[in-house]
Parts: sequence; C-alpha cells; structure tokens
Amino acid sequence: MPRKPSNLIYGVDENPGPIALVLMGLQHISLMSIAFIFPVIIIEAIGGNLEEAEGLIRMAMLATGIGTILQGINRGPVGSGYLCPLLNGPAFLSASLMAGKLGGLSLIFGMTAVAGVFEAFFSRLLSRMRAVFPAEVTGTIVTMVGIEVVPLSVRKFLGIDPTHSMPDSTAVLIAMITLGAMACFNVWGKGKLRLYSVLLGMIVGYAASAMAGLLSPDTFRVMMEAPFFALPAVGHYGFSFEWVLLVPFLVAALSSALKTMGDVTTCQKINDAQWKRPDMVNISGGVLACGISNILSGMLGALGQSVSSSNIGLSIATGATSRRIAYSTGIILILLAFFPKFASIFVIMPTPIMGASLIFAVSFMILAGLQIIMSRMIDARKTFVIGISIIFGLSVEFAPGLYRDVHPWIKPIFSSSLSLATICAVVLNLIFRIGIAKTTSLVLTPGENPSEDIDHFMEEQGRAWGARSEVIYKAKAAMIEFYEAAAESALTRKPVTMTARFDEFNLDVDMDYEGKPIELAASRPDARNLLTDPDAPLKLAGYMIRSLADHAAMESVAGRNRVHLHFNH
Amino acid sequence: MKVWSKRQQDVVVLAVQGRLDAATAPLFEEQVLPMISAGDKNFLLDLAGLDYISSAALRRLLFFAKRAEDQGGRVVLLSVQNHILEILDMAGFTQLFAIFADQDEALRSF
Repeated sequence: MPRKPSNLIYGVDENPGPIALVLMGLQHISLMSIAFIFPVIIIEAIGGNLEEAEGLIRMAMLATGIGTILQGINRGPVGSGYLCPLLNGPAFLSASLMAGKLGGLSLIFGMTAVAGVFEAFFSRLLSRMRAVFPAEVTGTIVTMVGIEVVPLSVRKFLGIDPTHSMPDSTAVLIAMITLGAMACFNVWGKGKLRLYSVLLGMIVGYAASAMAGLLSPDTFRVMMEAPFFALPAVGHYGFSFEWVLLVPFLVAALSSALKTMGDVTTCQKINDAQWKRPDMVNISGGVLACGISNILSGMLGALGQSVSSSNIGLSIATGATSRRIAYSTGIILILLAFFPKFASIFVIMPTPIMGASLIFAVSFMILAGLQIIMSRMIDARKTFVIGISIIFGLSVEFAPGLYRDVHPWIKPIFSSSLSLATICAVVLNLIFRIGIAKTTSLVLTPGENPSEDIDHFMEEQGRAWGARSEVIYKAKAAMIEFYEAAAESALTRKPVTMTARFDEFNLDVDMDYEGKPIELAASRPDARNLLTDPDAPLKLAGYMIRSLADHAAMESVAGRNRVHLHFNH
Repeated sequence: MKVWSKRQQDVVVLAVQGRLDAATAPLFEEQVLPMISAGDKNFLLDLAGLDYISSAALRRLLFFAKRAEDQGGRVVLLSVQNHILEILDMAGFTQLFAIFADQDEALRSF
C-alpha cells in the first residue's frame, strides 16, 4: 500500500473539491498549451492554412482530453491511475512531418493509429521486461524526460518564437518576473498559494506582459474572431497508410512508450514515500492508455500523443497529484474543443510566460530522475550506463545537425535526446549485465578480522547489482554480527561460507558452517545483563541477526549448520 | 576506527569515526578507559562519523559507561545517524543512553 509523501497537499486518491479541481485543471491546461505549437508546425510544413491549424489544435484538445482521462483510470488494464496528462508532444513530430509531406493529414492520422496499435501491443510485453529497466535506466530516462524540454524552455524564456529569432530583453524581464513569482508562491506560499503557484505566476506574467505592451489588441483578435461554439470535425481528413512510413511511426510509438514509462515511474515515486522500484504492471496500464489514445488520435484526426513531463513536474511542484485533477483536466480539454473562443485563450499565451512555466516544471522533473538514479548503489558499470546515455542524449541538443544524415527510418531515435538516451541506457544496461554474478560466495577463516572483508564483499556486490544501500547495510550488519558471535562464542573453528544471491526483489544470504548452531532469539535479552550474564552476548547477537533480516531461519543437520537470511529489496 | 577527544569544561567530547566492531572496540577502550582512571567521568560521544557498530562493540560501550557511572559520571550520545540509531534501538540501548542532536543541549545535560 503506497504511503502518501508529506510534501503532497492532495495525494493521488484524494479529492481536492470541485473549485480546486477546475482551477488546477486550468493550471495544467495552461502548461499543456505550449504543445499547441506542434500542430502549427505540421500545418506550416505541409503548406496548410490557419483554419486547418486551429482545427488541428481543437482536435488535439479533444484527443488529449480523452487520453488524459484514460491515463487517470486506476481500475482494469487501461490507465496508470495517475495524474499524467497527455499532449501532442515531440515524439511523433519527425514521423508526422514525413507523413504530412508524403500524403498530407490523412496519412499522418492513418499512421498514428497504426503506431497506437503497436504501442498497445508493446504495453503487454512490458511486465516481462523488468530486468531491462532497473533503477539506473528508469532514472536516466526520467532525467532525460526533463532535459529534453530544456532547449524549448530556454528559447521561450528568452522570448524566441517564430516572430523573434533573437533573445528579447523585455521578454526576458517578463519571464524572470513570472518565474520569480511562481518560485515565491511555491517556496514561501502555504496551502492554496503553493497549490496554484503556476496559475498565480502566470497571472503576474500576464499583468507584466500587458504593462510591457506584449498583449496588444491584435493578440486578442484571434480570440474575438473565434466562434463561441463549433463541433470538432471528427475524421474529416480520413486515413491512409504507407508501408515506407511504418518504421518511423513504430520508432515514434516506441519513444512515446519509453517516455510514458519514465513519466509513470516518476508518478509512482512522487506518490509513494516508500517507493522502491518501478511497478511494471502499472506502467503497462499507462502505456496501454497511451497506445489507445494514439489509436483514437488517428481516428479522430489529431496528432500522436505522449505523456507530458512538464505537467508531472507541475504536480510535484504544487503538491497536488490527485487523479481527479486528471479527470477535470481531461473534461475541460474536451469542452474547449467545442468552444473555440475559450480554447483560443490558451493559444495566445505570451512566449516568456510559457518559458517561465516550463523552466519551473522541468526543474522538478530533472531532480525526480536524479533521485531515482541515486536510490541505488553505483559502480563503474552503472556509471557508464548513466553517463554514456546522458552524454549521447545531450549531443542531440548540443549539436542539432549531428545526426542529420541517419537513415529516415531510425531518424525519430536521433531526433530526440530522450529517445537516444533511452535506447543507449537500455542497450548498455543489457551489455554491462554480462559477467555480474547473481550468486556469489565468501569464505572466512576463524581468527581473521572478517568485518572489513564482509564490508568490502557486500559493498562491491551491492554496487554491481545496483542494490539499495540500506538493504546491503542491513545484510552486512547481520553477517558481521553472526561472524563475531561465532568467533567469540566458539560456535565453530572451521571456515564459514557466506553465499549471497540477489534479484531485484530479494537478497538472500546463507551462512554455512560446521559446529554448534546459533539461537536466533525472538525476544531481546535485557541489555543491562550484557556485562553480567555470560549467555547474554550470544543471545543479543542472535536477536540482532533475526531483527536485521526480514526473515531468518536456522537449519542444523549432523553438525552442519546453515543460517538463512532473507532481505526484501 | 579513530577517536578524537577534546575537553569542554568538565566534559570530554569523544568523536568516533569509522567502524566499531569486535576488532576495533578494544582500541576504543584503550583510548577511553585511561581517561576514567585519570579522573574524567563525564563523556559526550559524538557518533556523527560512526559507520557501523556491532553488538560486541555495544557491550564495550556499556562497560565504558558503567565505569564512568561508577565514578559518579555518565556517558551521553550525540549526532547518532539513523542507521546507527536503528541498531541501538534494536539492542535496547536507546533506553540506556541519553541521545542528543545538539551539542550545546547535550553539554547542558551534565
């Protein structure tokens, strides 16, 4: 049973009430609105008009609204049960551009639906792939999920958009005011102020933009001219299919699935104070929801969807992760698709406010990833998996033209720092698993000082296994406790063999020796008797061994003894 | 294992670093027991740098505290890390020793 972390105001199962749900839904949509740029990019690339762009944005609202609700469902096979909003993210951008240029919108939608089917199928395999995604891999993915948004965030923060190719000092000032306000409300604000820190920061940013003349009557013309009510043109462009685009869309679907994995992992972690490892069944549900959403996107006439990392960052920052916010966000998005006048409010957000909001949310996202990485012991193998993956992931951002000439089929992998880092992390993890023994032994001879030997042995193994340091610490303590007691009470004069076995869920230690058995006392002897009762030290050692392990057992046959210790991992 | 000592009025502050186990506990005793013989009786054990302690070392610690008490003094613990605290609690030592997080507060307790 997950335990709600103390920093959350509204945990995943809690109900913030109707007014808070609407306000927090709007807060999430404000941040998601940044992604409405992607439909515009596609329409511009294929030579479409403004009407088509507006139509595609409204279809994005409808499709991602449904997707966000599906993702929030916590019963049945579909959905992760978390506040994990979906949007038309960059995962499908490259493939959609290729499809748009080759066969227009109908080909984009047809291929998106096919990609959704693949993603749904892939989700069913995930629960069997636990070994492929240990903490260092998922942590790297989550970190890169945040880092991937950095270039976009900083460009927006500096006021760079289609009409401004260079940083603009007024925009930077507004972005700083907005980000400063958000940070102040979040750090020093209590309760509601922290809950709505992004929304309040945006209001401050809008006020600053108005004073600086960034919100001119021209800006509002789009809103004024939009109709009050209009039915979304569902399936208006039809579907088509092209074999040559299958690989790019399957790679895009894979990127989307891996991104969902990282994001759902973050959601699991931020909602459980005792989080230890990714719940792959839950992640499968999340990826299935994403796959079904992409099938819907294709059928309705919207671009491919993936989970929004920025919104998860927002939920961490505000301390509100209730799944009901996912429902309210989804419902408001669906309604906006029918009311273009209101929908246009989110399309006219000034660039620096978008940048400030993104930087605010991304900060939390990157830290969540680093925390997952550092939850495990790190050795040279893990260092390479994490380091190399991040370096090559960042290379996509640092040198954008570097992978320009890769084959178009695999271009989606190289078009995103997240995709490339993820593929690197998964492959390197599989390579560096070679040679890691899951079972390993140490033989100790009485008379030697075993404490340091046991310490080094378990530390080294713990790092190779990527085990949690607190579990290794307890195992070491129990092993040293046993050996010291065995030597002091002369339980044996022959070598003791200590065998440790590890998998992601269990650490088992067997200590085999010839001699007298040790009593693993269920009750603690009175510590005050340690200096007077000669039996008390051995009893205390037995009690400590039993208490340090999650399960301890003693087997004794014809003078051969085995102390078995089990530690949950 | 290393022990640093300094005097704060009539209290000896002992900072212990490293591991205290069956092998190192006698070294600890070699350093601290002569202080009691020399007339010191109040000790503040700063355990911020202690990585590990076994029950064999706990027994030595108890012996040290008993000797201090015999002289009319006491031993209190300072800055105990969580994993060490868990072991002290498991062994029942949190009932035998006063534990402080703040050095001034610990010194005032004597």
